[in-house]
Amino acid sequence: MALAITLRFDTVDDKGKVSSTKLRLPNGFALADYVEFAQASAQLFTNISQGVLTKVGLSFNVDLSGAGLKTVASAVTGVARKLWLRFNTAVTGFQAQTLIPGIRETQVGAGSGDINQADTDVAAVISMFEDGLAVTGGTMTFTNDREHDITAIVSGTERFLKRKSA
Amino acid sequence: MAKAIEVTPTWRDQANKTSTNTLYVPNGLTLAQMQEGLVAAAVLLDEVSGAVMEGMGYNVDVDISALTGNGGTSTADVEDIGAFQFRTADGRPVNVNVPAIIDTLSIAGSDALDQADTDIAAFISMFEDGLATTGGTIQPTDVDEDDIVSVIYAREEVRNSGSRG
Repeated sequence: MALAITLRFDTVDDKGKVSSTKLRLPNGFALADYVEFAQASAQLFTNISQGVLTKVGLSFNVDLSGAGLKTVASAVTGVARKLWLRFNTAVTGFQAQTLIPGIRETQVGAGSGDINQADTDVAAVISMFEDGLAVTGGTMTFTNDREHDITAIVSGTERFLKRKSA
Repeated sequence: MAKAIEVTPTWRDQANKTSTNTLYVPNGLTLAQMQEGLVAAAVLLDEVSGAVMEGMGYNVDVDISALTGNGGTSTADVEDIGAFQFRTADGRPVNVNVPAIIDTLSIAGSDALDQADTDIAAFISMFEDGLATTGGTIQPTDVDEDDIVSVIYAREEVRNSGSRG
């Protein structure tokens, strides 16, 4: 069963305190329709609140049920061990990065913290970020948070961090 | 400048520790394209990690620059909420709380919100009747996509700040 889409409102008051409200919406509409609903409902929300609406966001779940992903973690895997990938973007001076949890020791070069970029699986992920993925009617590209297109890998290294990561 | 769409896979290792990472994709793809592309991305990411990807979600920021009356007031407190409870078609309750509810929307001598007030009525109608969009009417639901059909109560309450409903 699909879970409803979440529409979230973030409100701040005069003292800087923040609160959030969630609404649930059914699946089956186009993104533009959800945005239209969100903007209209935000106005109705604002009409009865004396706080300031600082952010309105829609959260969608990706259905991974048919992806064939592994269901059992490797016995030696720890999510604290990350694959840290850094990329240049189309805008000079702005980079992109991701930290993929649970990297395998076999993907780390011998005597080094560098990831083996020739490894087939690692190369495929790097290619995904650099070249995007074909989707019906277009290509899904990858960017940094400012929508600057990722262009080329800068480095791939093993990194140990606390469980939560960016 | 638009903010990219934030994609967050959630991972779990053999010790049951969890973690996330973040990817960004540009705006402009349809929901079907997002689903197709992110499933393909999940497959590739799954191959380089020994952890299990338990889920993946993404957030789309909505432009609210055209809102009117969103300036706030000096008397606003997010702890002072409008508490709305609705019922779904299957009879399940859904709570929705509006932080910093306008004080004058309560009926004098009562904590009940005035459901005859135009703005309160419009807010309740959004849940009961939905809102028209280009692609059809979107009717709010509970988390299991059961349609909200009626309001149970609407009243002023006080709660600590934090997530609301």
